[in-house]
Amino acid sequence: MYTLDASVIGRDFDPVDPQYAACHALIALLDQQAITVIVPRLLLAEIAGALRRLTRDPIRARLAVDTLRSMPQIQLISLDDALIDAAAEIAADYALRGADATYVAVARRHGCTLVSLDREQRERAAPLVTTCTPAEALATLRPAEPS
Amino acid sequence: MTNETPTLDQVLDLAHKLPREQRGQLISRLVLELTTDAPPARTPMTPDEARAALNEIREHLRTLPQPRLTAGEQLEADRRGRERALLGRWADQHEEDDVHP
Repeated sequence: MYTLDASVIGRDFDPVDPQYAACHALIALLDQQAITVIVPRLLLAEIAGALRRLTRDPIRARLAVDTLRSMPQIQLISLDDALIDAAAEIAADYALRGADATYVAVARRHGCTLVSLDREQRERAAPLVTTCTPAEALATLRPAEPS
Repeated sequence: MTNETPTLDQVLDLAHKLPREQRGQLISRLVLELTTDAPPARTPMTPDEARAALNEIREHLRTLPQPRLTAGEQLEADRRGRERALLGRWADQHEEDDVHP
């Protein structure tokens, strides 16, 4: 199972982004292979806020949230007290931003590989969870080419 | 659509981009909301509807004037802005610190 940071999922919305191709290919492949993606429910607010500020369009921001809620492979994890405490400890011990630490805490609790485009998040979370970039995750998931 | 509160024409323009079935669902939901005076429970989209909606958002973002931040860049800027709000000038000064335990 995988936890995708918002830096990955957010880019799947925007074809203009230089990282769109890798993020889109990864999310499509996870969907195709019915591999569960476990993310904190915080993702919804992050995506809604970013799209609202970018487009100045509250309707599309809500629509984006609805699409994430409706994607069959995406499992949204509510932040309970234990998870928030774990994220706080991770943020304190590994000098991660609060939102970044929340994704790490979710990945660790559910035994997921954390996929992120944020190098700092990947490097600092590495002692706790397996981390990789979207391109690295794609290389792992795609079947080897026949020789 | 660039206003704080969208106009009726803007909402109609957006609604017309929905598939016929979803336009029917929209009407039903609005009628129910008006007659019961309370928002009805949200009906989840089917996966296909979600993919179609996602594609519509992508096409809209593709048409936004350049140069601009991408959605991913906006999200990261929001996270950094939040950190700056919490830490003030220290946020930037500590950005490159290597503080691995």
